[in-house]
Amino acid sequence: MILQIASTIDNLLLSVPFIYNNVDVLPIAVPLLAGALMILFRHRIKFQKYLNLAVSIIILILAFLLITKVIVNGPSAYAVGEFGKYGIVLVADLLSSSMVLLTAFISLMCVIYSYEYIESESLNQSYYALFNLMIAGLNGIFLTGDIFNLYVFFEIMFLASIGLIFANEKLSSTLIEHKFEGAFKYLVLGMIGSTIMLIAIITTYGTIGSLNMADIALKISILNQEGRLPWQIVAAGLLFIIVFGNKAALFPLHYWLPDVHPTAPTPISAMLSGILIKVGVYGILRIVFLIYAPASSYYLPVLMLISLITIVVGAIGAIAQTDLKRMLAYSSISQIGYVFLGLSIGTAGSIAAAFVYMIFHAVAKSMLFLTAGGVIHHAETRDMTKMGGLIKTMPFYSAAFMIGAMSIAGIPPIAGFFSKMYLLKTGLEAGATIAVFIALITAFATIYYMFNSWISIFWGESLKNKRFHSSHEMMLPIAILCVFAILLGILCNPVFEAGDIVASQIIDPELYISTVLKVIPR
Amino acid sequence: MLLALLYDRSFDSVDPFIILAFIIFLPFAAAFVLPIIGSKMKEKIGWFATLISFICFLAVLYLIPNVSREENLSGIIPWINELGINFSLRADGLSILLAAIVSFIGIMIMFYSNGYMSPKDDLNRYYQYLLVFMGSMLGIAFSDNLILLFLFWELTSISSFLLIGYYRDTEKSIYGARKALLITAGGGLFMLLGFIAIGLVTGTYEISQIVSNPEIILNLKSSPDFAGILILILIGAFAKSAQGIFYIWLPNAMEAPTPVSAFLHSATMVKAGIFLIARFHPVFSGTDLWFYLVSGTGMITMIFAGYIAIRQTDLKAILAYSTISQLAYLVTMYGFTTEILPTIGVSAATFHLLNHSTFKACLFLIVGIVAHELGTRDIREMGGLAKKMPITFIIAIIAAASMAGIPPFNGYLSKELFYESSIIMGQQIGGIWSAIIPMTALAGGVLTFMYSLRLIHKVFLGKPANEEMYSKAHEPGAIMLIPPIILAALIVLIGLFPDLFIEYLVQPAINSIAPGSEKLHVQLWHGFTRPFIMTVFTIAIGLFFYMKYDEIAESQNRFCSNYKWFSLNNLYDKAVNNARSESAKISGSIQRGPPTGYIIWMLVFTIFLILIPLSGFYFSGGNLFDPSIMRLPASEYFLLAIIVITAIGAAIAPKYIVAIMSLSAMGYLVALLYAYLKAPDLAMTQVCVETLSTILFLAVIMKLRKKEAVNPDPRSDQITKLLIGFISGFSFLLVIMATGIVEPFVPFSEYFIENAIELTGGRNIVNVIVVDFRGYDTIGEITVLSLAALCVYNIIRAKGMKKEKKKESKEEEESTNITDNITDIVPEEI
Repeated sequence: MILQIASTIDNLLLSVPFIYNNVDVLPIAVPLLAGALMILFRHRIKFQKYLNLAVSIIILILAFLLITKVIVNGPSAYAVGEFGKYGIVLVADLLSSSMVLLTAFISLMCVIYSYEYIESESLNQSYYALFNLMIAGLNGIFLTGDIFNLYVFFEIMFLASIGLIFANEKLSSTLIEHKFEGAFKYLVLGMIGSTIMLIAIITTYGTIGSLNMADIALKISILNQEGRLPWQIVAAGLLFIIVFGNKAALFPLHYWLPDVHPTAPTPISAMLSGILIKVGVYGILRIVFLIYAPASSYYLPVLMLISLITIVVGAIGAIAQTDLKRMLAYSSISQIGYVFLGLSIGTAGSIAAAFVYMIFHAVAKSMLFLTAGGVIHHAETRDMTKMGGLIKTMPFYSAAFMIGAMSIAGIPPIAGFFSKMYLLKTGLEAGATIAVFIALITAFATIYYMFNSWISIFWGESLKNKRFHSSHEMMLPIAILCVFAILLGILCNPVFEAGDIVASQIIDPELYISTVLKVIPR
Repeated sequence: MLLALLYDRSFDSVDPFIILAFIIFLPFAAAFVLPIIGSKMKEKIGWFATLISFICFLAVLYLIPNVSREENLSGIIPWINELGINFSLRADGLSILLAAIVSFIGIMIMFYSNGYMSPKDDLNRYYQYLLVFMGSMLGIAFSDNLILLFLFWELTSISSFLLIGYYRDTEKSIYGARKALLITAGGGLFMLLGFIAIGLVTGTYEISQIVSNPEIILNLKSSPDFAGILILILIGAFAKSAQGIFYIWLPNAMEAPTPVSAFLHSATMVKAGIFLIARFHPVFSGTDLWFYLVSGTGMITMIFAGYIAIRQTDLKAILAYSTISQLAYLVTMYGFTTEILPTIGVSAATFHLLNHSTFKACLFLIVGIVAHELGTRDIREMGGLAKKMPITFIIAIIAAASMAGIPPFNGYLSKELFYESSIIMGQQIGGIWSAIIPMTALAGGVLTFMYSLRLIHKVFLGKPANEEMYSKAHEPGAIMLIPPIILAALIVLIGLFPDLFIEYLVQPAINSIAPGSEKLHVQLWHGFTRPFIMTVFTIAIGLFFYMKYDEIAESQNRFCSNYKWFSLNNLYDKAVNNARSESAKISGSIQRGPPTGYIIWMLVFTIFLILIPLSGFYFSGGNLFDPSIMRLPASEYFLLAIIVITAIGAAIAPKYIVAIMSLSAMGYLVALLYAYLKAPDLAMTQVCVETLSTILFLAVIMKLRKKEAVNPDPRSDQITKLLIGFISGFSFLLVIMATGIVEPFVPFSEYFIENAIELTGGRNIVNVIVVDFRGYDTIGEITVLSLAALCVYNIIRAKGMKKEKKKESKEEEESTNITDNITDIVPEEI
């Protein structure tokens, strides 16, 4: 049925050849252009607001069109310029187009939320511009098929997110010193990561002589078949674990996250936890699993080890927190560990499980952050021990937080359960019993910290008696994400199928490579 | 009569699957629309909920004839293929029994709540939770898919959590709710793993397929994971049914409104674990492990909980411990199996399952009435209520006598069966067990007898302990009396005419657990059999020890106050209360604050990652890099040596300014290297960048950190950092030195050189790459530059929390420094 709908849309789109032909690059070009426009129009408040909303919706539509195109026609390659693999090729397969769609969806929610949440002065200055550039960076990362181009867009995303951390909230509960400190750590560790990324890219280029991912992948696999895989290629593959592990906040590269995610303004925290850390997951799948596949006996054990430590460390950190947003941030660390556990098991099933887990976590965690923003506005503090009884004054938020908590804790019938179960199941199938058991124990800890937080925020003696009047701009995104958290669970078949396809394409990248190399240079 | 009428028709028109789905989803749908209806019906909304449960009950009744004819009532809708989850429902004897109990008690509870709950309460929420719970419970009963069952299972945990915490302002409710959730939902997680493992071994999650296929069962029993699977599933079942070490949540769950306790925590939800044990009986029973784990846990829990019940003074606490003990009866009986006699305990247990629901729910409702009238639940404040509340008194006697196992009530019948099965089981095992098992059963019976007697004695007989309360007490309204009366009538009815209930409810359930088992025969009088003699002993010993009731309770109290640490509750409290501070210690030791440590970790990890392939390759005897690249002119070596010296200087320089100068010297030397390698444009760029950054660097350092600018670091730290920096730098060097295009591959640069003029018309290869071949990258780079400017702009305009708040929170930070707070910024790395 989905295929039918997709092909209908695809046929409709064929009548607009410009969009159809360029739908691969438009999700990058539109926000890039919008980012520039936003600076020009920064004094026209209303106009800017609607323009940004329009841009976000357009990106969502484009992302939707892109994924239908991919569903109908399979992966597509788009050469920027006419140089084939020698130039830069954009590649949209199911993995990248799902990421683009996810980004577009979550970012639209965050944009709507921002109108009410972010200080209007800040909105008028640079917020929209930075936000759009961050989206451009993200989409650029997801769509590029070139390893150096990936680096460039990594920097765009990285810098834009740093700028956004400093956006002012209407009612800030964060000390400016903390923002500086968080951003400083983010910057320093991120820069080291970038340097290491460059080293890995240079090493790979210096050995293989190519920057195109598909081309490198093909050549490395040829080398491997001939039994002369050079050690520096393995080293470069492992170095990418540092790069993406740093973005995804894997132990021992996670140190920046608990300081950055809470200090960022809430919609940005939602983006950071919902999307930006998933860039690490995407990168591991696309770069390490695709290009350095022959080195899998090296990186899979390493990944499994650090993902298990990450799961545990994140959960311990989350239990320790009294700061609501910091608790959520630690929870993100722990949850991303689950995703990486799925990747590190390395079977098609577990990779599919990791993919599904990542998507469900993105929805639930960004919703939780947005909800937390409302709670913090109402309680005027981030300290959960100083909250209490808020269920009476903000029933909507309590329900939303409950749904999010259930999803993260993996309690059915919310989406998170299905992904967690998938992960446990595929893990057991692959024989990773001990890893599954550690994951299970931590899942118990997750129930503890999620519900403990819920209880201390919403139950107990009420400190506030006035009902919280939140605007529709804040409630709408939360409500939509709630609906998705529930429906994605109950109607999760398409996501699971997508996961299967993504995983099979990761395991066997034949289709990806041939699609890219079909683009013939002039 | 009704049943006889129904018996004659079969499903011609309605698909049984639709009826099953209807039974499950009706309560959910009702819960969903309840707020809308509630706004019209106001405080009468309880009647709507009562109606819903009545409809469910009718629908369950409607299915009974078909089930007792063992028709196949099932249906399946495929759901999530990857997980093996199907929406498959199935009605057999066992599920109908549970569903009938759930929906019938549901009617009683919702009816009763109309009198019990005050109109001032948040009734919509109350009935919503109740309906969701009921729907989930019915879902557990009818699910034929393990994962679907788990889904409803966790929903009951959540609705139980919300109901226990119904009075959400009070500390005790919150404590109880959290405890119940952690234990039942947490136990559920382990059970899920067990289910998944079953699915892996058998290849299906469909319960009916697993349970009825002897091949699959054999497979499971011979699987090496058998013990693990059994333990995991039992953890879930025991957690739900408050057995073994998991009992601790149930007494605290009594903070819920009394109808909720009657419904969830005695009659239905806690039966879910029992239900699961019964469901898996055909799969796991017959093994030694099953007997030891199930019956063993059951017998220990039975004695232990019964014994503790004696000490309680809170009416509901007595009932809570009694529930634990009674559930343990069921567990024990389901554990009674051998290869030869697979079903000795099953029929007794299944019958008791029904009976316990009737008398325990009835007792809870009575307690609700008493507590409602007196305003206390403390048994020491009561007494003599028989005169004031005669009807309540009579009902209480019936229910308590049934629980104590006194004829002619239903509890007597099933207790005799229990005794009988324990004797048989003991004989089967032989040896010392033939005495221990019946004696244990007897002890359990004695304890039950004692606290049942206590209930009647202390509450209704004797002199009133509190005159003031006593004078206010009177018989409750009809709404609160009718449900217990109906339940009491049922107790008597089952006691006097057991055959009717056995025929339609119990026997089909037994058959579905153990197909082809003997028909259950129950009689009030069956001669001086051994079970009857045991009953006589029970009453005699019970009466004897009842004389010393207070002494026993006192000795328990003494023990508890002397050995406070010796309790699972204490352990739980310690674990939960200290979880935050303990994990804060761990987390704080990992997340120390200053970024230096983080960088060190990152670099150490990097070195480790490079070392893996490096050492592997080195020890297998390969060349790490082509030695020919070491052949450089001496002048280059000289230049490189100076660069290294400046780098070391930057690292160990005692003052920031010197370090910065050293660093910039390194930059200029690199520019020189570029020039030497015939790349003048690169060299030019490098010189510009270096100049600019040095000036900025110096300006910022001088402005910001005067103190640190003089003396940045202690010596020892510097050496560690230098070492780690050196090793990581050297590893990177090795990696890069190893490169060199592998033979068959032509690098991209060849293509650029060949095609530059033809494709782009440019001669300068660098320019052509930047603006043509990789122009897209250049767009990105331009964006990065403008972004940097935007960021700086944003940072300058940034503001945080308002001033006065800032002060306040600063102070707090100093006082409560338990979390791994963001510590003060230490910008040594600037």
